[in-house]
Amino acid sequence: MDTNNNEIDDLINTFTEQPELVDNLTDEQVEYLTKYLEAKIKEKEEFLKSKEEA
Amino acid sequence: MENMNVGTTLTEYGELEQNIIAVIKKCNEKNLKVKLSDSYDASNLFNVKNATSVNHYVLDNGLNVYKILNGDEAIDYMISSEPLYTEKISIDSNNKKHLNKYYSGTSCIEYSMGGIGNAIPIDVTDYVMPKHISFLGPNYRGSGLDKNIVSSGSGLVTSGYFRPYSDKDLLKDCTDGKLITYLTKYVQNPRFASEKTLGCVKAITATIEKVKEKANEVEQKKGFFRNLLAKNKKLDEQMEIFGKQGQVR
Repeated sequence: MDTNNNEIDDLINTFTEQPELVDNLTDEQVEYLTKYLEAKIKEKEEFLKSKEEA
Repeated sequence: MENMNVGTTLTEYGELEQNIIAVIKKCNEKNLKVKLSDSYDASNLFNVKNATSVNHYVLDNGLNVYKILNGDEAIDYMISSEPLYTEKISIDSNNKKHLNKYYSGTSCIEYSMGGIGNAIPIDVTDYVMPKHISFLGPNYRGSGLDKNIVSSGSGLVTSGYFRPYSDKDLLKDCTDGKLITYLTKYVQNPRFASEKTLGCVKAITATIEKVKEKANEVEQKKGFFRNLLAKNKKLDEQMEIFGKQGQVR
Protein backbone atom coordinates (compact mmCIF):
# COMPACT_ATOMS: atom_id res chain seq x y z
CA MET A 1 0.00 0.00 0.00
CA ASP A 2 1.75 3.08 -1.21
CA THR A 3 0.06 5.91 0.59
CA ASN A 4 1.13 8.54 3.06
CA ASN A 5 -0.09 8.75 6.62
CA ASN A 6 -2.74 11.37 5.96
CA GLU A 7 -4.27 9.20 3.29
CA ILE A 8 -4.19 6.24 5.59
CA ASP A 9 -5.82 8.26 8.35
CA ASP A 10 -8.54 9.25 5.92
CA LEU A 11 -8.99 5.62 5.04
CA ILE A 12 -9.23 4.68 8.70
CA ASN A 13 -11.85 7.33 9.25
CA THR A 14 -13.80 6.12 6.25
CA PHE A 15 -13.74 2.55 7.51
CA THR A 16 -14.77 3.74 10.96
CA GLU A 17 -17.81 5.40 9.49
CA GLN A 18 -18.51 2.56 7.08
CA PRO A 19 -17.17 -0.70 8.55
CA GLU A 20 -18.88 -2.68 5.80
CA LEU A 21 -16.25 -1.37 3.39
CA VAL A 22 -13.68 -3.49 5.19
CA ASP A 23 -15.10 -6.43 3.23
CA ASN A 24 -13.57 -5.00 0.09
CA LEU A 25 -10.05 -5.02 1.47
CA THR A 26 -7.53 -7.63 0.53
CA ASP A 27 -5.71 -9.69 3.10
CA GLU A 28 -2.60 -7.60 2.66
CA GLN A 29 -4.46 -4.33 3.03
CA VAL A 30 -6.17 -5.50 6.21
CA GLU A 31 -2.85 -6.54 7.68
CA TYR A 32 -1.24 -3.24 6.77
CA LEU A 33 -4.06 -1.15 8.19
CA THR A 34 -4.27 -3.29 11.31
CA LYS A 35 -0.62 -2.75 12.06
CA TYR A 36 -0.97 0.96 11.41
CA LEU A 37 -4.03 1.26 13.60
CA GLU A 38 -2.51 -0.78 16.39
CA ALA A 39 0.42 1.63 16.50
CA LYS A 40 -1.92 4.61 16.56
CA ILE A 41 -4.01 3.10 19.32
CA LYS A 42 -0.92 2.45 21.36
CA GLU A 43 0.12 6.09 20.99
CA LYS A 44 -3.29 7.28 22.08
CA GLU A 45 -3.44 4.94 25.03
CA GLU A 46 -0.05 6.15 26.19
CA PHE A 47 -1.15 9.76 25.78
CA LEU A 48 -4.30 9.18 27.80
CA LYS A 49 -2.38 7.31 30.45
CA SER A 50 0.08 10.18 30.81
CA LYS A 51 -2.77 12.64 31.16
CA GLU A 52 -4.41 10.53 33.83
CA GLU A 53 -1.19 10.26 35.75
CA ALA A 54 -0.66 14.00 35.51
CA MET B 1 14.94 -40.89 -15.79
CA GLU B 2 16.84 -40.77 -12.61
CA ASN B 3 15.07 -41.38 -9.37
CA MET B 4 15.92 -38.82 -6.73
CA ASN B 5 14.86 -37.70 -3.35
CA VAL B 6 12.93 -34.43 -3.45
CA GLY B 7 15.30 -32.65 -1.11
CA THR B 8 18.30 -33.78 -3.07
CA THR B 9 16.71 -32.68 -6.29
CA LEU B 10 15.98 -29.26 -4.93
CA THR B 11 19.52 -28.81 -3.76
CA GLU B 12 21.19 -30.18 -6.83
CA TYR B 13 19.12 -28.49 -9.44
CA GLY B 14 17.97 -25.41 -7.62
CA GLU B 15 15.08 -25.03 -10.01
CA LEU B 16 12.13 -25.84 -7.86
CA GLU B 17 11.01 -23.20 -5.45
CA GLN B 18 9.40 -23.77 -2.13
CA ASN B 19 5.95 -23.62 -3.60
CA ILE B 20 6.43 -26.77 -5.59
CA ILE B 21 7.37 -28.52 -2.41
CA ALA B 22 3.99 -27.47 -1.17
CA VAL B 23 2.42 -28.88 -4.30
CA ILE B 24 4.22 -32.14 -3.89
CA LYS B 25 3.15 -32.32 -0.28
CA LYS B 26 -0.38 -31.70 -1.32
CA CYS B 27 -0.19 -34.45 -3.87
CA ASN B 28 1.19 -36.90 -1.41
CA GLU B 29 1.77 -36.06 2.20
CA LYS B 30 4.41 -38.73 2.53
CA ASN B 31 8.04 -38.40 1.67
CA LEU B 32 8.10 -38.40 -2.10
CA LYS B 33 10.67 -39.08 -4.68
CA VAL B 34 10.62 -37.42 -8.04
CA LYS B 35 11.93 -38.32 -11.41
CA LEU B 36 13.41 -35.57 -13.43
CA SER B 37 13.16 -35.78 -17.15
CA ASP B 38 14.57 -33.65 -19.92
CA SER B 39 13.40 -30.17 -20.68
CA TYR B 40 11.03 -29.72 -23.54
CA ASP B 41 10.16 -26.86 -25.75
CA ALA B 42 7.10 -25.34 -24.15
CA SER B 43 6.02 -22.77 -26.68
CA ASN B 44 4.23 -25.34 -28.78
CA LEU B 45 3.46 -27.76 -26.05
CA PHE B 46 1.54 -25.47 -23.76
CA ASN B 47 0.95 -22.46 -25.92
CA VAL B 48 2.36 -20.40 -23.13
CA LYS B 49 3.63 -17.21 -24.61
CA ASN B 50 7.38 -16.96 -24.66
CA ALA B 51 7.82 -20.11 -22.64
CA THR B 52 11.14 -21.52 -23.62
CA SER B 53 11.08 -24.87 -21.99
CA VAL B 54 9.43 -27.00 -19.41
CA ASN B 55 10.85 -29.35 -16.85
CA HIS B 56 8.97 -32.52 -16.23
CA TYR B 57 8.84 -34.24 -12.85
CA VAL B 58 7.04 -37.47 -12.12
CA LEU B 59 5.94 -37.97 -8.55
CA ASP B 60 5.77 -41.34 -6.89
CA ASN B 61 2.03 -41.22 -6.97
CA GLY B 62 2.11 -40.95 -10.74
CA LEU B 63 1.30 -37.28 -11.01
CA ASN B 64 3.29 -35.38 -13.57
CA VAL B 65 4.54 -31.95 -12.56
CA TYR B 66 5.63 -29.56 -15.27
CA LYS B 67 7.53 -26.45 -14.44
CA ILE B 68 7.20 -23.90 -17.21
CA LEU B 69 10.18 -21.70 -17.67
CA ASN B 70 10.11 -18.10 -18.78
CA GLY B 71 6.48 -18.11 -19.81
CA ASP B 72 4.56 -14.86 -19.86
CA GLU B 73 1.36 -16.46 -18.67
CA ALA B 74 0.38 -16.68 -15.04
CA ILE B 75 1.34 -20.31 -14.82
CA ASP B 76 4.45 -21.70 -13.29
CA TYR B 77 3.53 -25.30 -12.86
CA MET B 78 1.20 -27.82 -14.35
CA ILE B 79 0.17 -31.08 -12.80
CA SER B 80 -1.21 -33.90 -14.88
CA SER B 81 -2.17 -37.42 -14.01
CA GLU B 82 -0.72 -38.54 -17.32
CA PRO B 83 2.32 -37.32 -19.19
CA LEU B 84 1.53 -34.49 -21.53
CA TYR B 85 2.43 -34.66 -25.14
CA THR B 86 6.06 -33.81 -25.23
CA GLU B 87 6.93 -33.65 -28.90
CA LYS B 88 7.31 -30.46 -30.78
CA ILE B 89 4.19 -30.22 -32.86
CA SER B 90 2.61 -27.59 -34.98
CA ILE B 91 -1.10 -27.64 -35.59
CA ASP B 92 -3.28 -25.23 -37.44
CA SER B 93 -5.78 -24.27 -34.80
CA ASN B 94 -8.53 -24.08 -37.42
CA ASN B 95 -7.84 -27.53 -38.74
CA LYS B 96 -9.81 -29.58 -36.31
CA LYS B 97 -9.83 -32.59 -38.59
CA HIS B 98 -6.15 -32.74 -38.36
CA LEU B 99 -6.27 -32.10 -34.66
CA ASN B 100 -8.82 -34.80 -34.04
CA LYS B 101 -6.78 -37.19 -36.07
CA TYR B 102 -3.71 -36.26 -34.19
CA TYR B 103 -5.38 -36.62 -30.84
CA SER B 104 -7.93 -39.23 -31.73
CA GLY B 105 -9.41 -40.75 -28.64
CA THR B 106 -7.65 -38.42 -26.30
CA SER B 107 -8.18 -34.87 -25.26
CA CYS B 108 -10.17 -33.59 -28.17
CA ILE B 109 -13.13 -35.76 -27.42
CA GLU B 110 -13.25 -34.72 -23.83
CA TYR B 111 -12.64 -31.11 -24.59
CA SER B 112 -15.42 -31.03 -27.09
CA MET B 113 -17.64 -32.39 -24.36
CA GLY B 114 -16.40 -29.94 -21.82
CA GLY B 115 -16.14 -30.84 -18.18
CA ILE B 116 -13.48 -31.56 -15.70
CA GLY B 117 -11.12 -32.82 -18.34
CA ASN B 118 -10.20 -29.26 -18.99
CA ALA B 119 -7.49 -27.51 -17.16
CA ILE B 120 -8.54 -26.01 -13.87
CA PRO B 121 -6.26 -23.21 -12.82
CA ILE B 122 -6.10 -23.17 -9.06
CA ASP B 123 -3.81 -21.23 -6.86
CA VAL B 124 -2.05 -23.61 -4.50
CA THR B 125 0.98 -21.54 -3.92
CA ASP B 126 0.35 -21.12 -0.21
CA TYR B 127 -0.11 -17.47 -1.01
CA VAL B 128 3.58 -16.93 -1.20
CA MET B 129 3.81 -16.36 -4.90
CA PRO B 130 1.01 -14.82 -6.94
CA LYS B 131 1.24 -17.50 -9.54
CA HIS B 132 -1.09 -20.21 -10.56
CA ILE B 133 -0.88 -23.92 -10.95
CA SER B 134 -3.07 -26.01 -13.15
CA PHE B 135 -4.40 -29.41 -12.35
CA LEU B 136 -4.96 -31.20 -15.57
CA GLY B 137 -7.21 -34.15 -16.21
CA PRO B 138 -5.84 -37.46 -17.43
CA ASN B 139 -7.13 -36.78 -20.89
CA TYR B 140 -5.30 -33.50 -21.11
CA ARG B 141 -2.89 -33.57 -23.96
CA GLY B 142 -1.77 -30.20 -25.04
CA SER B 143 -5.16 -28.58 -25.09
CA GLY B 144 -3.53 -25.19 -25.21
CA LEU B 145 -2.69 -25.91 -28.77
CA ASP B 146 -6.13 -25.01 -29.91
CA LYS B 147 -7.82 -21.97 -28.52
CA ASN B 148 -11.22 -23.06 -29.74
CA ILE B 149 -11.04 -26.36 -28.01
CA VAL B 150 -9.90 -24.96 -24.73
CA SER B 151 -12.44 -22.18 -24.71
CA SER B 152 -15.23 -24.64 -25.45
CA GLY B 153 -14.56 -26.41 -22.21
CA SER B 154 -15.62 -25.92 -18.65
CA GLY B 155 -15.53 -22.17 -18.74
CA LEU B 156 -12.74 -22.10 -16.22
CA VAL B 157 -10.31 -21.31 -18.95
CA THR B 158 -10.71 -18.76 -21.66
CA SER B 159 -9.22 -17.75 -24.95
CA GLY B 160 -6.82 -20.61 -25.12
CA TYR B 161 -4.83 -19.31 -22.25
CA PHE B 162 -5.33 -19.92 -18.59
CA ARG B 163 -6.88 -16.93 -17.04
CA PRO B 164 -5.86 -16.19 -13.48
CA TYR B 165 -8.24 -18.11 -11.28
CA SER B 166 -8.44 -16.18 -8.07
CA ASP B 167 -9.30 -17.48 -4.65
CA LYS B 168 -12.47 -15.47 -4.87
CA ASP B 169 -13.42 -17.24 -8.10
CA LEU B 170 -12.55 -20.57 -6.60
CA LEU B 171 -14.63 -19.94 -3.53
CA LYS B 172 -17.52 -18.82 -5.64
CA ASP B 173 -17.34 -21.95 -7.74
CA CYS B 174 -17.16 -24.01 -4.58
CA THR B 175 -20.12 -22.18 -3.11
CA ASP B 176 -22.07 -22.66 -6.28
CA GLY B 177 -21.11 -26.30 -6.28
CA LYS B 178 -19.71 -25.83 -9.74
CA LEU B 179 -16.28 -27.20 -9.13
CA ILE B 180 -17.45 -29.96 -6.83
CA THR B 181 -19.95 -31.01 -9.48
CA TYR B 182 -17.18 -31.24 -12.01
CA LEU B 183 -15.04 -33.23 -9.66
CA THR B 184 -17.85 -35.58 -8.73
CA LYS B 185 -18.81 -36.25 -12.31
CA TYR B 186 -15.24 -36.78 -13.19
CA VAL B 187 -14.57 -39.31 -10.49
CA GLN B 188 -17.78 -41.14 -11.24
CA ASN B 189 -16.88 -41.53 -14.87
CA PRO B 190 -15.34 -45.01 -15.15
CA ARG B 191 -13.34 -43.85 -18.08
CA PHE B 192 -11.35 -41.54 -15.87
CA ALA B 193 -11.80 -43.05 -12.43
CA SER B 194 -8.33 -44.25 -11.71
CA GLU B 195 -6.04 -43.86 -8.75
CA LYS B 196 -4.21 -41.18 -10.63
CA THR B 197 -7.41 -39.31 -11.22
CA LEU B 198 -8.34 -39.61 -7.60
CA GLY B 199 -4.92 -38.27 -6.74
CA CYS B 200 -5.63 -35.21 -8.83
CA VAL B 201 -9.04 -34.77 -7.30
CA LYS B 202 -7.64 -35.14 -3.81
CA ALA B 203 -5.07 -32.49 -4.57
CA ILE B 204 -7.74 -30.18 -5.87
CA THR B 205 -10.09 -30.73 -2.96
CA ALA B 206 -7.21 -30.22 -0.56
CA THR B 207 -6.59 -26.95 -2.31
CA ILE B 208 -10.19 -25.97 -1.97
CA GLU B 209 -10.06 -26.67 1.75
CA LYS B 210 -6.94 -24.58 2.03
CA VAL B 211 -8.57 -21.71 0.23
CA LYS B 212 -11.56 -21.96 2.53
CA GLU B 213 -9.30 -21.95 5.55
CA LYS B 214 -7.54 -18.93 4.15
CA ALA B 215 -10.84 -17.18 3.59
CA ASN B 216 -11.85 -17.83 7.19
CA GLU B 217 -8.53 -16.51 8.35
CA VAL B 218 -9.01 -13.34 6.32
CA GLU B 219 -12.49 -12.91 7.74
CA GLN B 220 -11.10 -13.18 11.25
CA LYS B 221 -8.51 -10.54 10.44
CA LYS B 222 -11.22 -8.26 9.12
CA GLY B 223 -13.23 -8.80 12.29
CA PHE B 224 -10.21 -7.92 14.38
CA PHE B 225 -9.64 -4.81 12.30
CA ARG B 226 -13.25 -3.72 12.79
CA ASN B 227 -12.83 -4.12 16.54
CA LEU B 228 -9.74 -1.95 16.35
CA LEU B 229 -11.68 0.69 14.46
CA ALA B 230 -14.29 0.74 17.22
CA LYS B 231 -11.60 0.93 19.89
CA ASN B 232 -9.89 3.74 18.02
CA LYS B 233 -13.13 5.66 17.82
CA LYS B 234 -13.61 5.40 21.58
CA LEU B 235 -10.09 6.62 22.17
CA ASP B 236 -10.73 9.57 19.88
CA GLU B 237 -13.76 10.47 21.96
CA GLN B 238 -11.72 10.28 25.14
CA MET B 239 -9.01 12.42 23.62
CA GLU B 240 -11.47 15.13 22.67
CA ILE B 241 -11.68 15.87 26.37
CA PHE B 242 -8.04 16.87 26.23
CA GLY B 243 -8.57 19.02 23.20
CA LYS B 244 -7.06 16.57 20.80
CA GLN B 245 -8.50 16.24 17.40
CA GLY B 246 -11.14 13.58 17.43
CA GLN B 247 -9.55 11.67 14.64
CA VAL B 248 -7.00 9.03 14.20
CA ARG B 249 -4.03 11.38 14.12
